[in-house]
Amino acid sequence: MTEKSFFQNDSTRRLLFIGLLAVCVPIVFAVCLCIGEEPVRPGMLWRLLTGGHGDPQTIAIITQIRLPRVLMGMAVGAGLAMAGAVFQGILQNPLADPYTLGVSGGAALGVAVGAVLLPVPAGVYLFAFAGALLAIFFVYLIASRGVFTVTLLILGGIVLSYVFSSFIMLFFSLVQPMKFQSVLLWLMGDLSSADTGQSVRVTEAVLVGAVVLMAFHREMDVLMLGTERSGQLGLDSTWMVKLLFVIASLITAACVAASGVVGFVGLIVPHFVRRFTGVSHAAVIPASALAGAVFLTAADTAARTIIYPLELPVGVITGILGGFVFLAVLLRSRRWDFFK
Amino acid sequence: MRLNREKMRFAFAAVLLLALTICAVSCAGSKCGPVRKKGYVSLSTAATEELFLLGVGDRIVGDSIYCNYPPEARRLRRVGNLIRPNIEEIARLSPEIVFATEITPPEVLRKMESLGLRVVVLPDEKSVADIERNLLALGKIVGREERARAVWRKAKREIEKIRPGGGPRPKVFIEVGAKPLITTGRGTYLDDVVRLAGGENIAAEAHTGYTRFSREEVLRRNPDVVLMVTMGDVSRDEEREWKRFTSLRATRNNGLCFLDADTSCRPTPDAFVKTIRATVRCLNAAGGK
Amino acid sequence: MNILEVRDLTCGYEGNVVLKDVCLNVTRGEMLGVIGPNGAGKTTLFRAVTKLLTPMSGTITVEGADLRALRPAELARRVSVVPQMSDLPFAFTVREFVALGRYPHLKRFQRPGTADEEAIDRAIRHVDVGRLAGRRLHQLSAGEKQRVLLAQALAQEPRLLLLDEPISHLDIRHQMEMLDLCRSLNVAGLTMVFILHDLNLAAEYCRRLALFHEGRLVACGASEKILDYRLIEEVYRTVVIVRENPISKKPYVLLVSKDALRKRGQTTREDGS
Repeated sequence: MTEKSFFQNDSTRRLLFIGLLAVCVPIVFAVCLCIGEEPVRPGMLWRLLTGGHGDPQTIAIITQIRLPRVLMGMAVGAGLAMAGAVFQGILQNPLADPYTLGVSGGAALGVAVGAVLLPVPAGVYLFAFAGALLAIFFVYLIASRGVFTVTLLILGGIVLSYVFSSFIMLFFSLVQPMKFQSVLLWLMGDLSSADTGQSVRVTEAVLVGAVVLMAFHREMDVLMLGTERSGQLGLDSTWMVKLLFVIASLITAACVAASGVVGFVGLIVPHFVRRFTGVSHAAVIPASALAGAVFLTAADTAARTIIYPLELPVGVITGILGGFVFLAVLLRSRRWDFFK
Repeated sequence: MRLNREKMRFAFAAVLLLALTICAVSCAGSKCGPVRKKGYVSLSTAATEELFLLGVGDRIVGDSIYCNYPPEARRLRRVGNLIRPNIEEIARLSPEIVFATEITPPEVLRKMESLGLRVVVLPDEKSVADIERNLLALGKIVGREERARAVWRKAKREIEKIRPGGGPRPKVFIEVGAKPLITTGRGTYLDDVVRLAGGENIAAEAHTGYTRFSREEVLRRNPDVVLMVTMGDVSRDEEREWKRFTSLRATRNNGLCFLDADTSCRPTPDAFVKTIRATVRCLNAAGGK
Repeated sequence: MNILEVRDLTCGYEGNVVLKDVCLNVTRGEMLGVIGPNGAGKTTLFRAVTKLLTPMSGTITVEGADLRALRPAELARRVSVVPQMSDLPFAFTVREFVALGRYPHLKRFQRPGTADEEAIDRAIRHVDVGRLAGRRLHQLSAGEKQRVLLAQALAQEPRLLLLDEPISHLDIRHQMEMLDLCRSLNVAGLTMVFILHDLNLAAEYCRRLALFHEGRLVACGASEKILDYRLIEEVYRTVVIVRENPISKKPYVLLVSKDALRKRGQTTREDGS
């Protein structure tokens, strides 16, 4: 046995890291609820949440504006980070993110179609989700022709993304300026239109998705050995990759339909997490979910506070924050050894 | 070496957490008491201007970042843009009424209503008559009906003073956007203005609302006037562009005019008078009338 | 009892036939060497035995059970492969990597139990990478990586172990280390089949050799019989000289460069053989 101290032992470190993240989640949740132009003291928040005591205006602001938004941020952050981790695993590519295989393109197209068909922007979630499902269906179809390889899956997804983009550009060229402003806003990622019902639904979807993904954590590890070795260990990698693709895409679809295309979370959070937990998916999936929740919620809170009362698109913050943190991590490590 | 990096990472995480907590706690330092429902929040540039005209500008507690008329409106508390106004800020201001336009998405309006706010949507002004309608409605809501009627009467008198030139109606192309070329067809405010000023909108018969128009089609219809409602440098570029077509009547007869976008896109009594005046001046100048 | 029986096996890829009418038996507890030129079909044979390829005709039975009747996980509990060293997921730690070998034994939602942990520990001990258990794979040398691959296969607790060129890229010391290790495992009861390019090491360690050529099994038997210079020259199409290893008494094959041949001329032939 190696003589390592308590802190250096791999699984202890991993557990501590996940534990730290788990503790961060409720703390960040509460803190972000407090932050705002009308700041709420933590004590006030506690009394409010537990007993409903407090000035009715504050209650309204907290429960109907901030709470759904913070909850949505956590759910979407967790969902996108987990999906990103899964995609990076099954596509064996560190550059993969939840949008690589065209899910966001399909959702965006759905939103654009909805904006054209309906006189007023309504039912965005349904159109976006339907569009995403369409994308998943087509990519699955493409990947099922002939001999399945991961390369085929990636190609199918990228081609589909381009096709969707072209349709969206067509939409932009034909439709009245007013209509596409809200589509544009959605494309940049926007958590501000969250209402309690939608937030709860997305949270449920992400929780279910997390449980399902964790059921396959060993398979995800085995897949990293390659098609041949997985087969020798008794795992049908073709079927498993397709299944995981569908599950992760559905989680992504649920998130994207609610919040638009929030970039960087799905790409960066899994890489960041792997530096601490290693590549075993039993740790990477839950750690990514927790870290993603914290990251997106913090970014969204910053986005809505920095130039109050205006808001920055949350994608701007995730890009800048995420980009810099990630660059720092990358420059400190001498090699790209924590992915593969 | 390994142990150091671990310690550094945990320290980093702890510091981050601490920073967040400090932020929250320090934010809790400022004072903020409960506010009763009073005042107006305006998410409509026209409504803001008209509220001031009606003499109730002092009741406005918040407006959009685009509400720049009159100058006093700029000093009001800003609540954000029209598509995604900051609902939290509006709720905090606790107004009696929120005035909005059709630009603001319905889900945003619904959210405000669900917080117990009264939202009044003023339908888009598609004609001069609509300006009157909205002004009077606004007057009724804020209890200044008489004042509203008076303001409108004054505006009408100003309009009567501006007589359009007699004779056949000059054909006008209204350009509200360049690259791509966009015009306003039937059923829009500017179309109404042009008609009142004695002109004929060449896009009116085939189109309604804001649409794209091809430059070729403009040349084919050969209008006497091209009314450009674009802004700044773009207008200069467009003028140069039209001047290239020497066969165009508007080019030959001094019919290339500019309308200040700021004024002509504000469907309020004040701005409307200025817009009509400028349009009539333009139509009279074209063709040397 | 035969642990593996291959009868009239014909298989290939996409309509291309690679193996033709192969008949091969592997007895329990033996160490068999599969040799032959590149493209002779050796790896294809392994793929057929692990159900990665469906045979076009013929049957394969493992411990008496027809391969078609066995589910992939069941087969993986009996047969294990040490693959060629290629693109490995280097970010796993040694222990995590070896633990993947337990996959065929674990059900969904089942956490690895004591039996699994012990199997992993045993595998790690057998290949002697215990002090490296916490290191990530990319930190290991080639020899250590190869041993870890073996450990993963051992963690599967197979009855038959297939090794695809396990020593091709190792230096002579590590080659011997690896093969000695395999020998000790074989002595302890594990049946092994090697694909080897090095004919001498094949002869040194494997009592029986199977020589493949253009998809057919051309000869199978004791290494002395197989490493006959005529046979080797015919299959490999290069001039060889076969001698006897003075210490182990096993045959070994000597290669001669074209230059040297030209210098000595044809007379070398009569002397040497």
